[in-house]
Amino acid sequence: MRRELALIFRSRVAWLVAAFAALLVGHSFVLALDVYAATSRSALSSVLQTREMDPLLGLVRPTLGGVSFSLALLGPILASRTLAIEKERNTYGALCLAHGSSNRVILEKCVASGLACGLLFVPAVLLFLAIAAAGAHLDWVETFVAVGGELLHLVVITGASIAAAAWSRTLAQAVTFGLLLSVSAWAVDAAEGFAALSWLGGASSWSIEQRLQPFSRGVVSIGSLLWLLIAGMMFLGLALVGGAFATRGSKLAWAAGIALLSLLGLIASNRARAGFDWSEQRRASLPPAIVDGLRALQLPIGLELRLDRDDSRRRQLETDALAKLALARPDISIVWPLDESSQTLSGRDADYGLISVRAGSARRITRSTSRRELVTLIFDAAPRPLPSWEQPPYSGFPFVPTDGARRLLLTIAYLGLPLTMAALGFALTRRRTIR
Amino acid sequence: MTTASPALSTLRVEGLSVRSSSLALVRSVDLAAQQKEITVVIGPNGAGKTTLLEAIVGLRQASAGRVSVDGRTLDSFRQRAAQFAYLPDHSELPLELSVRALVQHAERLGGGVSDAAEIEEFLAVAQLLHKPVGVLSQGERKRLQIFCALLLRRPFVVLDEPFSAFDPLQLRGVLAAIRATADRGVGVIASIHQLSDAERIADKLLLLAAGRAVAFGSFAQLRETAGEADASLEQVFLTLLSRSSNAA
Repeated sequence: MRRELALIFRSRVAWLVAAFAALLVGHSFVLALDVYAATSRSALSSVLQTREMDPLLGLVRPTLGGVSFSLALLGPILASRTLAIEKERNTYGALCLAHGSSNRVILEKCVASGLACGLLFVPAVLLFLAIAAAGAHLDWVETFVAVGGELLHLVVITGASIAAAAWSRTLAQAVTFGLLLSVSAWAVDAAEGFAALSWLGGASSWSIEQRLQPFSRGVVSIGSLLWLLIAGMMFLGLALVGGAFATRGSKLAWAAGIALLSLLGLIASNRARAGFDWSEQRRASLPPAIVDGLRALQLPIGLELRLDRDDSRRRQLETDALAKLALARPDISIVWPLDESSQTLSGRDADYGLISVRAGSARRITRSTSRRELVTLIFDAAPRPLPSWEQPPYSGFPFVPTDGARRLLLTIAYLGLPLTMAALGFALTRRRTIR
Repeated sequence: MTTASPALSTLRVEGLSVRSSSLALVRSVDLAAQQKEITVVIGPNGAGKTTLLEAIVGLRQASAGRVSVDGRTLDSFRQRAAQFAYLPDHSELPLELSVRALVQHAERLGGGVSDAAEIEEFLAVAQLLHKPVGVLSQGERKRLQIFCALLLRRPFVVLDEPFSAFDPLQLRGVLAAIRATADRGVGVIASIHQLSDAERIADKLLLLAAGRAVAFGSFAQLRETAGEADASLEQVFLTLLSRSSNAA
């Protein structure tokens, strides 16, 4: 491993990328901090508004957005390099012979690549510590869950990049393939708001971003966790096959087998809706009495929602009401009939927007997307009395840094971290060509 | 009282062929190499020397044939890795590492601290240890690569064009190091372009042309095959090649 780590941490490109990523993450952090501080200032005058001040959504998530962006765009450069450079230098075969196995080399390269991409997390973690030291409230458990989600993203990016390197001959090819994989995942997300990519809408269940969403709300979603791990393992399997010294036919057969098995695993994980709400005061869940009431219903619950993929109400439902319902009742059936329909928009006018709520054999119809309305209709159809909607209020944590603290945080974000990365890189790589 | 020396392993390559799509790169090559021997593969450009060596060590899939050591066929990559250390042609050293780190890495993979002081001296590696790889000359890099390959302590070392970067002075040291390695019980198989170098070091020679083995044996045997008792290797090479192309 020492050799692999040296290849990473004594390479200039790694530190250059780390410094650039630190700047990106720092910029995301500063933007988030300024918006959060401005909103906090006005919220301090109203208790109700104060409750909306959620550091996880206002500070942690946008900062991790910078990490996610860096991972998707710069991760493949760092992650594929460890293996691709060996192929480019014509040392890969001899290295595998020296180690006794190509699998061992690929696994070591994977660990080294994961650590290399871990450099992209360092600025975010340090900024979280800095802002906590400046007096902001961060709940460490939910922050850890959010960071954990991005770490799963790292597993997928690392796996995909190593697989790309294993199946290609040069660094340029590997980085290009790695970026293509990472950008395709983006394209699926972009399909929602970009007409030219709307044909990709059906692939939304393959969106990495969608898989990461629960984590960014402090929820450990078993389905997403499995999906991301299976995707990472699939890429690792493909990397092991791609890096092996076998006939092309047998490699392709193995790769197809791994892809097929993983595909089945990914589809199965799509059905796993169970999750654990580790957000502060369990605010990602419905009120406790409602959750208990929903779990006590011995009836199958289902929702049929006639909304298009590009309807903003659908997005809101998915991230709020449906996510909370699925946490309470992972077995809930959610159907979007228009996803499978070939009807034109005009043909849908009559029943567009209808939401059919089913509990057992009874149905209720509504057009409201309010979670309270949907839950009420479930209990109405059951029929059971609606439990108390009482929920301990989330107190909210406004944060307005002093001028001095803000200046210090800005200096750390824009100068301190990028320059530290650059300086570390300089210190670790400068002896390479000095006699 | 005399002690029996340990039996020397024999590498046998039988009917080895390598194809790439419809092109035959190596055609049914036979070869036998023993520990303590230096077997040199010679041939014109494009003869298939590198392909043959890659197929022997397992980096390239053979379409037919068998590679065995002492009668045991080497089927898996792991089995090949246990037998061969390999130095590819045109490989670059990692600029990120120091010379000392590279040597230590090779020592670790070879199973411990090197006892190859003699070889280290021939290759003059000690004077490079404190340097970063980035400042080494072409010849120094090649010496270091050869040393690292020899440190791996495998029964056979396969070297692809190991002498391409040396001036005559350095070459003497490198040839001595390889001879010393063979004397320590390692079988050396090397492809060499410069026939004068091959003549100086080879115990056995394999002449390859268009993927076929034209001749195999000691230099004396090759002379005999060519019917030129006092000829240089270059003359033997040209005679056998022209005979082979005429036959084709």
